[in-house]
Amino acid sequence: MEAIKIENVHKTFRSLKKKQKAVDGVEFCVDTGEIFGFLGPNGAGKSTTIKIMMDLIKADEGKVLINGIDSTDYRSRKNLGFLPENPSFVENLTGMETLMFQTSMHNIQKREAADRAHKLMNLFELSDSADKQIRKYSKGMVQRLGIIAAIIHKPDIIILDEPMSGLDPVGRYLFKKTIRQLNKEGATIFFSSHIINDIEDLCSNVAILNKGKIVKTISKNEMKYLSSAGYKIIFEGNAQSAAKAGKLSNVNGVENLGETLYAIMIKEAELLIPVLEKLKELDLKVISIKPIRKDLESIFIKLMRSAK
Amino acid sequence: MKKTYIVLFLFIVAYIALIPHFKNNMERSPLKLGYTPHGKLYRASLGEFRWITGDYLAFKGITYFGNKKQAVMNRQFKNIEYFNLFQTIEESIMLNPYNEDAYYFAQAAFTNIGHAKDLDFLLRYAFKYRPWDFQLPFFLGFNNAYFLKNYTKAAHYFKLAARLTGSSLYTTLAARYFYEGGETKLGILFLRYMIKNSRNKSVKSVYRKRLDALIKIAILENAAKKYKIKYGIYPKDLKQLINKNILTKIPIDPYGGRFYIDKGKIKTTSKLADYHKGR
Amino acid sequence: MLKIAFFTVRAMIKDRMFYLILSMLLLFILVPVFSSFSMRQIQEVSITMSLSLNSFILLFLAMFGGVVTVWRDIERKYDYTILSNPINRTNYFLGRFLGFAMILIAITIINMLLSVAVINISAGMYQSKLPIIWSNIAWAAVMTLLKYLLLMGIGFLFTSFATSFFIPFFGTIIIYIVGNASQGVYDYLSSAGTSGYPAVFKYLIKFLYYIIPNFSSFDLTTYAVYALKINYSSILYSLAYFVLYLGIVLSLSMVIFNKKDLV
Ligand SMILES: Nc1ncnc2c1ncn2[C@@H]1O[C@H](COP(=O)(O)OP(=O)(O)OP(=O)(O)O)[C@@H](O)[C@H]1O
Ligand SMILES: [Mg+2]
Repeated sequence: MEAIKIENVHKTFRSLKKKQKAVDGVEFCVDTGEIFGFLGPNGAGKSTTIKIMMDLIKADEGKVLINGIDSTDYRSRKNLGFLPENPSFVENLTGMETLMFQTSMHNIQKREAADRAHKLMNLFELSDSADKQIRKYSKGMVQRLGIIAAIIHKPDIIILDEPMSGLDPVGRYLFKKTIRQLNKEGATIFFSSHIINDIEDLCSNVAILNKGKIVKTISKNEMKYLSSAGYKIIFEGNAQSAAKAGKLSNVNGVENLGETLYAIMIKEAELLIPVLEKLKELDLKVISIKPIRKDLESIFIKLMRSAK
Repeated sequence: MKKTYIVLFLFIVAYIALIPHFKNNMERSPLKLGYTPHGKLYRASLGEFRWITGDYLAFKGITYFGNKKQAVMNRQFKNIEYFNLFQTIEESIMLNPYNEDAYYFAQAAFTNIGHAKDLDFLLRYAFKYRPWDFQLPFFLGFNNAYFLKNYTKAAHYFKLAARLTGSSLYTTLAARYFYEGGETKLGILFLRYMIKNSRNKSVKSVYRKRLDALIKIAILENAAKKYKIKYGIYPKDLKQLINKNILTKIPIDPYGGRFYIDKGKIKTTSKLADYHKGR
Repeated sequence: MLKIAFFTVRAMIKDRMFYLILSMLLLFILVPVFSSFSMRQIQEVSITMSLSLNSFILLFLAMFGGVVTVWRDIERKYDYTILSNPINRTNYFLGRFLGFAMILIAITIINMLLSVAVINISAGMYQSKLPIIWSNIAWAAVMTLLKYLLLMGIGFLFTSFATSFFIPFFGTIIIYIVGNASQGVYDYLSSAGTSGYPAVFKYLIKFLYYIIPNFSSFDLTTYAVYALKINYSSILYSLAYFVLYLGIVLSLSMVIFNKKDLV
């Protein structure tokens, strides 16, 4: 089932002086239960798309369905959690009050809400600041609070706009762990980023956006295929055997790493075992086997180039 | 979304239905002026806004008076908040004594209702700030002569006015009429001046009516004098003036009263005299 | 909607601006002091001052509380986190309005309690010829409340389409001034003494008179101060006017706000 469906969405920002086409016919689906990444460089239109999904901005054309409900209907947000980019909360209130308000909007009992708020604040290491006014929060603390506010009501769908910006390594770790956990419990997660690592770690599906257009949507299988690029094998032995190893099928030459240390690369994962057997036959001592994964960066750059 | 449009539409329709009634109600509402606060501290706290506040109060008072014009002309003084009006204009002058409208209006609206003394104070106050303005001593002179019967002071102010204008026209006229013609003619002179120099139509029309009355009184006074010169005594009844062919007919009091003569003085049943001298 | 309203109240009572405005309540102490400067109008002056102070505080609350806060919601994107909840914009907007309306009502009540105290103190200093009619004073306060609710509604309307702070803030102030003067100017122009003005100008003013809120109809100060007889049909007209005008203002805001891009 499709948790989020975006159909041919267009948005142009108009000001007196100029027009800026921010979203240009974006179309993709997010299936229930997956973690979906939304990747694109600065100014690609990610945030604009997300704001349209949240009905904060009105699309010129096209529509967004969330759990089958049009996003312009407030009921589409009943089981939804949202973290805007650079979230901000009414500054006079404390973090705790903010969370209590947020939960009350989802009709969660006060006691239950307080309980969850405490737990999550603990988890995200905000307990000390729970009763501080938000104006006294640091950027990262506000970001953490935003994450908590987006998940505290246990939504089915969580939409996050650059959730990890402003977070320190601990924050990132906590975030990723929580997201995985929520996903395991059945939540659909959609988040945007321009940092490939973040997406690579978490996502099963990725849509890549550039200049308001989807360049490519990479499925789970495609991603596996694209990212598993072979292995790098480092071994020790004499030069003759090493040269022979370099001539094995599916191996493009050998590299001398110094003294008696050599390395070869194999392109396909399935070929690992036969190659290892061959090395054994050649009496070469395998020191390490590293999987090579084409990172999204190169995919991204390549896709960008082809899109131009 | 559509619902909001419908709600908006319904509200607009209802509003359009209400507004004529509302408007009529507002026009009928008897009280529009209200109390104007007084006090030195209040003035000080206004800072540089005292000037504009003064101007605003003058405008407010004049507008109010304009609306009550009918009541003034028909002499229904009970319908007019004279107390508040005077306070408003007084405060206006105290706040911005430079505003010509304010004291001009004060002179126009209050000379006849027993505020002569207060008015004298206000005019003197404004004169301190507008020492170049001949109109102020002219008003002061008129009021002193006509209402306060303080002829020495009146003469002093007329002299000042003459010095300021450079032309002695008003003063000599005033003096001459005052000594020779008595107060009716002084009144006529003053009203002519006010009518000529007023841009405000309400003030003008109020004055025209009064001028009309005074001119008629003057005609009767003249006739009565002629009668006296001929017959040695004043007539007992104005009809005698017609009988002796001095007048062809008795003029009609524009205020709806009837002129009569009492010991040589022309009076009217509409009590114009009271109206002159204050309540 | 109620949840937003209570949220608004809670956020407001923690606002510094609110305390600044509340501190104006201290000025009530000055009422008897100033009134005593007056010679024979002590009671009258104390009532005038109490009602004026009430108006003044409500004006500040409506402007700096209501109008500035909704504007800040949009400016600082607080509405992103609020509107991500299952709530439509109408509810959010009207909830905000309702919240501030509750604050205005509460402050009016406090002001009136203080007024009763200071008027009693002042009236005790010098026996006025006029009676104090408390119901008149209460009516005057109610009408003042309505006036500032209306003003706040207009501020909300400006916010619904504004792209910069100046429009809601100065727009509301201008409407406040013009709305106070509109009846006066209209009366002046309909009086006989103004035939000299061009007809087009008069029509323009009359047209504006129907569009601009008429705040003079909410001014019952003199009735309260001079214990005059209140014409209740007149009050009824003002109430109807209030309901319809506010209805138009708020529903128009909704029409606009529902279409707005919250950027
Ligand atoms: N309110 C606005 N008015 C005019 N143009 C806008 C507005 N918001 C965004 N844009 C333009 O729309 C385009 C997309 O912006 P958007 O914020 O969606 O990018 P993004 O992908 O989220 O970038 P980032 O990674 O920097 O957050 C940009 O070119 C931006 O200049
Ligand atoms: Mg962005």
